[in-house]
Amino acid sequence: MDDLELIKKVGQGDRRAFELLVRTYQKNVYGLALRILGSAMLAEEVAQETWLRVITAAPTFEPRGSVKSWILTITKNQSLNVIQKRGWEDALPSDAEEKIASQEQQLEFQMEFEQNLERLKVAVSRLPERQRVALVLWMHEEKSYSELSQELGINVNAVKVLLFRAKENIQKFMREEGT
Amino acid sequence: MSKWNDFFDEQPPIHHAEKIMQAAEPILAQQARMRRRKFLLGWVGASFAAGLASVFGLIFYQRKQAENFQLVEFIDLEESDLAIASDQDFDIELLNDLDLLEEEDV
Repeated sequence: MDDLELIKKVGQGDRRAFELLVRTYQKNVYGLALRILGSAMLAEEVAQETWLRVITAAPTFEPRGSVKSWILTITKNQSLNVIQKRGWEDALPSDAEEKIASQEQQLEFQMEFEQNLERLKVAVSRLPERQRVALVLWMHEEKSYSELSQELGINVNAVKVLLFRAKENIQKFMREEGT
Repeated sequence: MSKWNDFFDEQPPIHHAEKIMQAAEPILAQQARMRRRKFLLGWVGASFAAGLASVFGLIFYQRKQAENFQLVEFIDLEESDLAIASDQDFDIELLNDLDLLEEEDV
């Protein structure tokens, strides 16, 4: 049974179809929430809320993209809602950092980051909140700076500074951890 | 999707799925009830429509039958009139009664 058939059955209250969907994508949903929120407890709450929304929205689901992307979009939105309701833990980059934003730097991660995923996970979890969220959204959705700025409700320069600082902090962490 | 798929995968805590299923149970049950209700309403609606169609069909059929019966009655009347008309004795009696018969006619 493919995902579209599963979602249709979930919309009809089919318990088995829902359980299959949960077991298939629970790692992705929990993982994305954890990366954005940096807290296992919050990630579990958001994951549960996400799945409940999947059930209630399933009857009206329209297959514009994949079911997986749809579920992960709900996860991302739920995670961002938590942060916005609570308030950001850290401040936006100051105007003094605009100099960084003016430099057209392509944000890239070195290949070794991909080879040290566990360290990278730890490094990202230790980032200041705005840097972490900006970086995670950039990595997850491969969005442009302007798309990210719209998503986060901040200007493009602020996005560039956040991503630049996030990369710096990760590199610093990796060096300190002896990569 | 992202080339960082492995980065975003994370095994959730034990019983994570079970907790989700527990929380989801009432909503799934409600959706199943709504589906059954929809099906039942559809079935009742279809049965009602079929019943209504049968009643109208019967009424129409009976009216048609009634029209045909009147036609037959009319034809029968004509035939019986013809029978009466061919019965000469009866004709004579009738005409006598009506004082219409001339002497030379008898």
